[in-house]
Amino acid sequence: MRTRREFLKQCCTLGAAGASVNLTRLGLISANAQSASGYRALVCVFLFGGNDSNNTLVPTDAANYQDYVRGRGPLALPAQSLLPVADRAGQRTFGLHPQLAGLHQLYGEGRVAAVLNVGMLVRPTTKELIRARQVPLPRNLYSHSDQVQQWQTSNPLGGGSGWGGRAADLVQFMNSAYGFPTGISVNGNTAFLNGNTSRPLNVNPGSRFGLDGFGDPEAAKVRQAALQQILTFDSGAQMIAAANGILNQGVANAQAISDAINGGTPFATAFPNTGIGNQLRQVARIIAARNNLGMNRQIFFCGMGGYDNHNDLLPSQTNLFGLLAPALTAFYRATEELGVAQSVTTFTESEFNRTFNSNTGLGSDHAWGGHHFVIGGAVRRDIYGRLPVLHLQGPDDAGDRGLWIPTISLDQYAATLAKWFGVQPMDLNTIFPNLTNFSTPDLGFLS
Amino acid sequence: MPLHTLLRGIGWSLLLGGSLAHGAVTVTLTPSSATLRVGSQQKFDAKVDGATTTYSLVWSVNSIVGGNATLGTIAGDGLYTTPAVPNSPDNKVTVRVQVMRPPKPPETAPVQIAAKSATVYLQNPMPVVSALVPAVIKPGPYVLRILGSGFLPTTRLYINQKLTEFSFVSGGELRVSGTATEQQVGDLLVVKLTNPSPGSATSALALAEIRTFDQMKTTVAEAHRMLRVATWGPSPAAMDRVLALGVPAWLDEQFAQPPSSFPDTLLTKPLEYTQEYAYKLALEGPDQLRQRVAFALHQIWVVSGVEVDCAEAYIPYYRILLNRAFGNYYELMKDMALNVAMGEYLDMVNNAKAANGRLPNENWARELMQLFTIGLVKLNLDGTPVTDAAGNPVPTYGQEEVMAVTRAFTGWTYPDKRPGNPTRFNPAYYVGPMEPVQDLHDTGEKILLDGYRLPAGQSAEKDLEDTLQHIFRHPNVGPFVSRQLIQRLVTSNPSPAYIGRVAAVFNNNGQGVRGDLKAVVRAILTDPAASSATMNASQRAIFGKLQEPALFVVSMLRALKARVTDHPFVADLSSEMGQRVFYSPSVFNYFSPNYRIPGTTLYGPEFQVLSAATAMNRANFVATLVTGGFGSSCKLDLTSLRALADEPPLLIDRVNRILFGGRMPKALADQILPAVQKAPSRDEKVQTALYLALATGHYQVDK
Repeated sequence: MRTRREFLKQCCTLGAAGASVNLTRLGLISANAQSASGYRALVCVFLFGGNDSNNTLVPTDAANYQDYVRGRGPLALPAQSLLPVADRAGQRTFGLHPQLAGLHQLYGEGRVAAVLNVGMLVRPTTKELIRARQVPLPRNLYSHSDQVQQWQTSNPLGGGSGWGGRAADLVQFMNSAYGFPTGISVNGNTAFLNGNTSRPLNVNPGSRFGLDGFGDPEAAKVRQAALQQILTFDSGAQMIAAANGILNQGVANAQAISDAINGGTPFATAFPNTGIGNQLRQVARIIAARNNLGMNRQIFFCGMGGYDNHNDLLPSQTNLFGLLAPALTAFYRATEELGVAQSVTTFTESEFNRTFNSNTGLGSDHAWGGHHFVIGGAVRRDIYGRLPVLHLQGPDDAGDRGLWIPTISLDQYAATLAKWFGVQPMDLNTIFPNLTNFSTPDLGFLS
Repeated sequence: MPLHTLLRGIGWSLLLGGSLAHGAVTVTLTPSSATLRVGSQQKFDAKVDGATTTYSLVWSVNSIVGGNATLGTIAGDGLYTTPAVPNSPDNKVTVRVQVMRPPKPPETAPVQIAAKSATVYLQNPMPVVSALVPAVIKPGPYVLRILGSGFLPTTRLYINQKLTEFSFVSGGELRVSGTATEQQVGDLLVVKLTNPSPGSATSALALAEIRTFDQMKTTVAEAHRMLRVATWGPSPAAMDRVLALGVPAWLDEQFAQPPSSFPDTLLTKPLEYTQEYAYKLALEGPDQLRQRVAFALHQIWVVSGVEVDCAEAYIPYYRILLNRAFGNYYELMKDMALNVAMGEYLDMVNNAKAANGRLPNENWARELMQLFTIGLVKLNLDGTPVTDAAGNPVPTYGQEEVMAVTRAFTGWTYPDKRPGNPTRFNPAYYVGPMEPVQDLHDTGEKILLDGYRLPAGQSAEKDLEDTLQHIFRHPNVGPFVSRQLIQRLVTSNPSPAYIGRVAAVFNNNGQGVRGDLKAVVRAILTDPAASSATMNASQRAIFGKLQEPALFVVSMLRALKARVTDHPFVADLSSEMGQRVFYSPSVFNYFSPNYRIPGTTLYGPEFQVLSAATAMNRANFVATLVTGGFGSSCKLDLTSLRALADEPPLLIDRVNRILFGGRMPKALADQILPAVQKAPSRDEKVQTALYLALATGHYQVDK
């Protein structure tokens, strides 16, 4: 393996990194910042590819576990390998995937809620209603791209703004007047954070902000001024305006972003040096700088791929959860260290669960409702929702292979998070237009 | 001839005063000194005061009445004409006027009653180039005649800033002989003359173009547009070729180019080497159109090195794209269906029929339909969705059809090089297409899309071909594939009419053939909707597409004649901008054809990887590149641009031509000019012009 990246870094030190953009507006920030005591942040961790959550949370009572083994066949996890958890009432028992030890620990500490069988729905849906064609279904179930988009937008028709962005639209007034973006993605551009009025900033780990200057300092100033003009004059072409607007956003925020990444309270919690570990570490660093940035509400997007396991599910999940759980755990510990554990709630999303039964390649295919985790100091530990009847072609199967019809809609899950985040109850129905179709808009997993 | 007339010619004049002076007679000479370029004239005026009688003026140069050819001549009215060259060694002469009264006997000669001198400093002429003949130079040996004036044997001649020997024909012509190389095709010879001291002077720049043709067959703007959409970018040489041939003949030439491909030596090396080689092909391959179309097809028919991290598997996959780029879409489908890399990526390889309650893997069947051929909803010919009575789009298939198509593709395994069909699944092996294992193929009846029935008992091969044909015949394929190819090549938001015209060609190339990609590509590139030239403002407002990172990097390097010796670094650059070529993060590739630009209703697939950070990476890449920050890994040939830096408007014109095909917005040029003027050195002027031209969306959006 050649070290071409190192080589590149050397080359790029030519200009003074970031020196050319100098904002004095930062002075405004501290004055306008509200007290941190009201601070709240949501952190979405999206598991791309469709996590097979049939194996993240496995029922361990005898009847259900028997159904589990029968239905999953070679994909079933041995009972003795599971990490035991019970609901608050102590009635239902489950086991976590053995690689989710960190979450198991946090569950024990009361920092985790599990939510069963969440999925995209337009309104409450049953097998009978589907058969009778009496219920509208989300478009293009089982398609990655459509379901990714729907989970991010809560729009079962696809398209439109993200629900995280719409929530940001409504709470961004609580942040300082400076206008540092409320939504921050550390995993590329995402529909999730595109609001109707708010635009997220993308601060992937390792991103470098600031324009390199070169040459004579006086000439560089003139060039910089020319660039600013070039970025803003109207060429009559929307594509150009959009591209220039994005670059301009970086230029305008370069200093603030560098401060956000580098200028916050240092913390000692170690993160795993993995993709998801570095993303969550980046989020923690930005949270640590919240007061400098004047942020009172922030919403973050992280992501991790590799969950589309049509083949060899078990070894793949062992690997994936071995990356995911330590990162999630480290992040929670960092929020404790920063004193914001009560103020930061992390939750998982994934476009769909996978078929309950195995395919001939020891993998599973695209399905529908699945289980999710919510982590944070404000979480009420419990296992929420109803486990599907784990029978192929059973009452909860939309097909033949265990495609669970969700019993909790994404809208309910998201609205519970958004309400805690500070979106007013009456606004929740605007952000989630189908929420009114469900009787329980707040699932109660956050206090 | 009267005496005064004769005298005037050689520096005498006879004037009548009132009466002969008795008091002091004085003369003033204006100007009292002069600096003159040879070849010019200066009128001296002598004003005589106090003269009371007839007198005459005698003009001399260095005491020689009337001067001479070496010193310059002066007429009786004081009009001084310089010599042809300055009189060495001191390059100055004294012009003197004497006021003479007629002799009084016994005087026999006129008598001086006053005199005044003026110093004239002589300078070399201003070199002026009126024409370069020929103005167009073909590659090979040439003799360039430089016509104009003010040329000297001691003139210094620079071609592209390089001091060049010439033969001196006359003060109005120099000749220079040289050889234009193939590498210079499409570039300029920038000619500049400097005359030495005294009065060192430099000519305006004169330009000769090195090109292969006499008559342009299309416009610069059109050639440039075509190269931006049909290749990895308009290099000067490629511009020359399109201008020489015209678009139709150039397309024919490109269609006829055999594929340049990956050498077998890469098969056993890490896949990264293959990725790097892809950049080499993009930068240098003569089959530019094929390379570009193959890359477009790669973004439909995705295989990612993230999962298939093996050159032995990946190279055959990409060779299919190169080989089938101008072939038939059905053949492409079939090659892909049986390709082992694709088989691994989407799990068709070793996918057995149902057994023990386990069903076959649906991955390939689903993505074949959703991503590669027909999509999720039924389409009209123009790509708009077919809707039901309630206005909802009509799905192309459901879960049952996915399972039926899945069954049709069961029973294929890795090749084993042995004659006859294998009887069980083979271990991984990558040479050749997949082979059928009849026993593991589901031979039951299958109901495919729209009720189409595959009878029971068919072989794996027959089911595969029938299913592929069935999908290939689906009316969606034309609009579905056409839209994406248009997006990849030309514009993110093609109109339904544009999609419809291309899809019609997909459905029938004019000879009754469906799926002819050569005809489809030609239709895409030559459609009126592919060019903004005839669009109205609202059409133009949404036209075009953002260059994806790989294309942005490569097209810039091609335009600026980069000599790249280190392809890994080019690959890394594009990765840092959000596109890691051959390692797309998922089956949805580098970006989605349906990604919308936030805050707009426009599709902008490439915007999915444009963030504040990656946009800055683009700008900072430009800064590093144009300032030579990549060292010998990547050196630009800025020779002729540097030669143009003496005249910023010419420099910007040239940048406009190279990077914008002459279509740079005036507002952009207006911003670049003062910044270039402010830059203190020739190098920095060039860097500034390129940086401001390249760093923003004005360049990065193809339109």
